[in-house]
Amino acid sequence: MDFTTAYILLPTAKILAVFIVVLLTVLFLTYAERKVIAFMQVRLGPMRVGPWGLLQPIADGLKLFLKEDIIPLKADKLVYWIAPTIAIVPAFLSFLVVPWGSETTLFGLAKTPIPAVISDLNIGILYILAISSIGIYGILLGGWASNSKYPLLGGLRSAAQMVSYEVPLTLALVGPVMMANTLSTRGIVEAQKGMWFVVPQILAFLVYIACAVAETNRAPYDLPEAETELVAGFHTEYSGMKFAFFYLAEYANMIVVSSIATICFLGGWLPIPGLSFLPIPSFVWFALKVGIFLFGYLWIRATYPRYRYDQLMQIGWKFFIPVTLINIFITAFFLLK
Amino acid sequence: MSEELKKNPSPEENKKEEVKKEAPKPEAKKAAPAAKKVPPKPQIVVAPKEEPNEDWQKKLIGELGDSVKEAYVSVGEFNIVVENNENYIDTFKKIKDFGFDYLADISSVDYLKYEGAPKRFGLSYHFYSVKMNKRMRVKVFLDDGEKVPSVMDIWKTADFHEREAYDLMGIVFTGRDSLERILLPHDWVGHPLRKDADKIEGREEYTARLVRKLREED
Amino acid sequence: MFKREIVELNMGPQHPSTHGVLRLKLKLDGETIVDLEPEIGYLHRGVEKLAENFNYLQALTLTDRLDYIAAVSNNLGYIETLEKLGGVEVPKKAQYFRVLLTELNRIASHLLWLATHALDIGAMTVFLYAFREREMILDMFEMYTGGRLLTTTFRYGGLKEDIPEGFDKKVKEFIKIFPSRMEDYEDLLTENRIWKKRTINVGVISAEDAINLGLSGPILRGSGVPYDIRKVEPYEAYGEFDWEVAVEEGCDTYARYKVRLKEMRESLKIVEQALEGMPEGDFRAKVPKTLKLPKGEVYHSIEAPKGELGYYLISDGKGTGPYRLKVRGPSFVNLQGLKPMCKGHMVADVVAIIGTLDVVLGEIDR
Repeated sequence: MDFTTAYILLPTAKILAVFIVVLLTVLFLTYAERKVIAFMQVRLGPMRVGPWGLLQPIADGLKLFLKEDIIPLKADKLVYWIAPTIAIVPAFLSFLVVPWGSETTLFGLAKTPIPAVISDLNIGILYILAISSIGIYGILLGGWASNSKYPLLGGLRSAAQMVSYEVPLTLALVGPVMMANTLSTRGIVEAQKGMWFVVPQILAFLVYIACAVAETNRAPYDLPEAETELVAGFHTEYSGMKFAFFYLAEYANMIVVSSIATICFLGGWLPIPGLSFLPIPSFVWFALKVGIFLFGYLWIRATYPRYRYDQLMQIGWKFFIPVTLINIFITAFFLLK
Repeated sequence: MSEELKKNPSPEENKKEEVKKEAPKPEAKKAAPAAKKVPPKPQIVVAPKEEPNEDWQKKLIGELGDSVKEAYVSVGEFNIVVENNENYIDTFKKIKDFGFDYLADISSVDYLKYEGAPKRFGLSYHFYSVKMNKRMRVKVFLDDGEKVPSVMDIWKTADFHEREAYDLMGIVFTGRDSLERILLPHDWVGHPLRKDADKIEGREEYTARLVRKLREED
Repeated sequence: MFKREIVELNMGPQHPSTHGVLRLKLKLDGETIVDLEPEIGYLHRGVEKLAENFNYLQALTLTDRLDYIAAVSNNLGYIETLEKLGGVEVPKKAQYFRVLLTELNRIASHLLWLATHALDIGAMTVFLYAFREREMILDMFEMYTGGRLLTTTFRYGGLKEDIPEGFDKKVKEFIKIFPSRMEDYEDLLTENRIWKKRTINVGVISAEDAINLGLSGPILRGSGVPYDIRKVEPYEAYGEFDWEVAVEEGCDTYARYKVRLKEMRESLKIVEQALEGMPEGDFRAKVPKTLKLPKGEVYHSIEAPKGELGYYLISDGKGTGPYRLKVRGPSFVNLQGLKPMCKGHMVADVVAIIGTLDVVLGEIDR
């Protein structure tokens, strides 16, 4: 493999492929959300644009793209501009270390199969956690820069919520990392060839799911944008493409946390034990597992009411963090033995 | 407030108005029999007033003593008429102690075109007793501009009712912290439920001011 | 080190969960409510003044627009007030049908309350489930009156028309379906941890305070006071049916939730009995075409879905319309409970408490 292919062509192709797939997934995740929840709520969901409303996300995107961009008179213009970017860029950057399959030739571009991940960093998990915490600034700054009371309350809530849930989220991931003895995402998946970490790390897995929902501001932890309380929370004053950025960032983050869950607990691209004889490509297994998580998100949203701010903090600090700490101790105990 | 009060019509003018109101009626009655062949019924049917004869009613009247100016039962409802004097609040306290703990409603009435009312305005307090399961009404008549003590200290629910009576009828309550308009804008001119509300001065200026404000905002 | 600042927040009149055009001036310390002042009147149409210029029948249409969620109850209260002053005896059949429609309306109103209350707290699905069942009731109203929301249902002395054919079939279908649907709502909410956390000990008001504040309906019953006008002063045919007053001792939002759910079940019981025992006969008493009432005054109150709905009617005996019509709307009075209930709670609880008060701005602003 010559230099151009190895360092320019292949990475670019990988990045483009991942970016386009993620973008499309995000778009159709919004569609899926509306459809799935609609069926749970005895209605039809979007039906007008395209067959069964399939083109609805594209129409939505077009509408948001063409919409007038309104900046409130008293907003801090620079920060107001930057905030959506800060929200969306880390969300997409996280996909850098997400392995979507075992090996790939990128449709024949590479002569020998290469790892199906843009970059197999040896600090993969740490990288994702670090990058995704930057996204919080987008929400916080967006809420603050609007110079309006509802966004401010939303921004404050999200700052508190995401900072507090970052802790148990990270602690929950420590268990699998300890068992795999590596921070590399590929390494963690390969360590699960014998047994998925969901079995020994069930406690961490459950805490992770709960914290992931909180971390992405989804129901029942959607306090920063609690519609019935804060109108639209931190993005009340945003419209057009800037609003779309926040929106995309939220859904991209959903995919990120679902991917991490798949990687750390459900064996990534590995087939379900006992079904490895099926001729199913590894990326399908990966997509399937991520899809199950995403469906879970929607299911939860259609079922549960919303927590109150102080109650959310309470379970975060008084329940999740102790549980994850205990889990780490148990894991360490068994590993040492 | 005081300017507004001066502009209200004097009793003589009220009478003139009533005459005017009644004047077209005979014509209508003449036309009616020709069409429907129904004999005209000029006399007004009045719901009969009876003496209160239940025990608790008599007991309550006895307890209130001199405060009760009139007590009667009409359409099955027990009415007490009291006067707006220094015993006013005491009367209501006694009523509450007697068992009427639930103040359902305070209604204000403008008797300008009503025959047989002693004064221009009236307030009707509707009570219910949760313990005794009884209802009663306390009425008080007021002159134009006459202030009346608030019962908010006894029943907190009186707050909105009194504000409404002030807002729509212009009855002023004393002895409570603030008496603001509740349904209408805070700078509204006049009290719309008064029977002469269509000729309140200052309304045109109010409208003009509003239009000007809206234009400035544009 | 830090300056503590009280933030003033305007909630409404345009806000997703103030149920119309209610405006609240909140004073916040962080997210905790320090003070709160409801600001109303954005929907003021002068119903009471309009009624003075209308005749008795025309004024009936105004009552539809008070609590537009429960138009039938409003009609019933007004018509009964007229009948009380006019001294008319309503035929049994009309009484039964009135009860039937009013109870259906109570279910519809409570369904809308459940839907919006749950949505406010974040449970989205219940909203659509409840609307599905409400639709069935609105269809019945449409069948009888032609209107779905503003029904102008009853007339002085009875009903406007006889019960249409096929109406009983629709009601029977509803009676069959509804209990299982109620279970669906309960599955989603009653034992839900988050729902309980959000409602228990939120918006607490003691029985004594509730009476002093003039609160009525499910709010008063949720504080343990069994004051239901249908039971304590039975009007129409309510005395002939077998049903219970829903009372809970919790004094909080959860208790009021349970009260309303039980009321729906009891209402269904009444509907069933009224349909089965529907007597034959006239649907309207003999009354003159042009209605004139004797000179006098009358206050009559009924148990509307939201609480005590009273009409204070003064007739001067001359005109064909009310001299003065004062409406004692339950929402108007119940709104006074908002301030004592909210103090010390958080912004999210305000939303829950507005929901539990079940206010309709059409009735507050009149």
